[in-house]
Amino acid sequence: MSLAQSPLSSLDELCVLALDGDERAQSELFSALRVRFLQVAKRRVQGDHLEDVVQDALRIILDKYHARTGDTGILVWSFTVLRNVIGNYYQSRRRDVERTTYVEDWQTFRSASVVIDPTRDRETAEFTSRLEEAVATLARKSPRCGKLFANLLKSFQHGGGQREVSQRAIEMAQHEDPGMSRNNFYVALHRCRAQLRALLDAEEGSLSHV
Amino acid sequence: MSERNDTRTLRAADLLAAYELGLLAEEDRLRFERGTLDDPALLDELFAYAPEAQALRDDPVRYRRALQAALRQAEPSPVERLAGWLRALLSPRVLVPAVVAAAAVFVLVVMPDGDDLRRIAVLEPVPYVQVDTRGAEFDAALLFHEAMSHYTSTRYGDAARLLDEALAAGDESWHQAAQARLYLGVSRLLDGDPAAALSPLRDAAGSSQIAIAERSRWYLAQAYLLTGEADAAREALHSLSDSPVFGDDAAKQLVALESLGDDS
Repeated sequence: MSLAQSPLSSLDELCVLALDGDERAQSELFSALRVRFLQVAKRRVQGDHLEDVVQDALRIILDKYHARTGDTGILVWSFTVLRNVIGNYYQSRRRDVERTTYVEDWQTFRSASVVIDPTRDRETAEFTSRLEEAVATLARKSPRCGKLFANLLKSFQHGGGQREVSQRAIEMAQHEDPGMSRNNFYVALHRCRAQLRALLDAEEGSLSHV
Repeated sequence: MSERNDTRTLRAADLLAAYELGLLAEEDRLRFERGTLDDPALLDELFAYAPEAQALRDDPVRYRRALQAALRQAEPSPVERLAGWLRALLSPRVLVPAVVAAAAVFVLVVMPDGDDLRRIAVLEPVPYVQVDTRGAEFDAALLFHEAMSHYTSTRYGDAARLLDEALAAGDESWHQAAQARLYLGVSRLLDGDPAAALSPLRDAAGSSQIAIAERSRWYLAQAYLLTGEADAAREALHSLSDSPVFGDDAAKQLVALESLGDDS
């Protein structure tokens, strides 16, 4: 495994260094992103277009990541860009569906028909209301998960760095369950996320795409 | 359970939600990212829900509002809650120990032998939610798990006995020790032995985990009230004045305590 595939710093740390003008860190960051983009995109894009799609996404990220706002990690943010570049790719291929039918999951790719700016598709009203409904259903079905997420969002709302936000969220969870360690918190969050994902998937099935 | 003492190494997959929501420290972030290189499915999962993770991170107010509205709806009405209690009480598994526990509380709190301190004590079980986790099981953890089954079934005497054994089996590094001491104290209180509850609650009150320390101080105050030690109860209640969870109740109980005058 090369250094580019497995850097010694996290991608967010590399991003911070790159934003400070460290060209080596920037190079490492984009190499690491490229490896992951190829991994994800090869299941969704035809082989002869794979490199182009990945390069398009990386170019957009290079142009925009300096102006990125919000607290989302660089990999998650970059994946939203890649998703939308792939969505735009599907849209451009719509009139030639026959040639793309072997791409296994294009029918279920969200937002493919509404993408304009590759960095902003999540702000569509449909996306927002779908996620609102899913978190509300989660809270009704599993109040414990609902409280866990509500506390977490409250901690996001209060702001601060990763350490502060994380510590505050865990302390709030400990008021509900005094025995909850940091590891237990991560596991509980992971399980609640799986439930939320199932609800999103169920709702996804009821939407018409593309 | 101290986060410092919970040294289990979670799988990269278990860190997914914490990673995508930006909660991990550098070391865990790096471990998760390396894990994605060996696990294409994990990377795919991150990719598939990246917009949702970003939305939750960027607009917490909107989604918290939706959650809170749903949580309010999910709360049972007082009538539904009463019906739920009645249904639970009619279960033979619960009925007998519940009656025994209720009788103990009744004797201790509702019908004190003229002791005003006992009358203002509040006894309610600390909620307990089992979180199943991987990791090596050993005697103390197994005993704790079994004890908490008794606890949640309101068999507080059995819970106290097993928690005692769990604490004897676990060494100083046992990460659930403080939690076990808290529940041991509460179990003894609810089993009608406030004097025996004092020692484990005092120990748990010194825990570095705020949630456990505060709960322990609250129950310690109740145990002091039940054993007639007004000054010690007052001190424990004062120590909770800044607690976001127990501050209000502690203040009310202090007012009730002061209203008893010097006779207490």
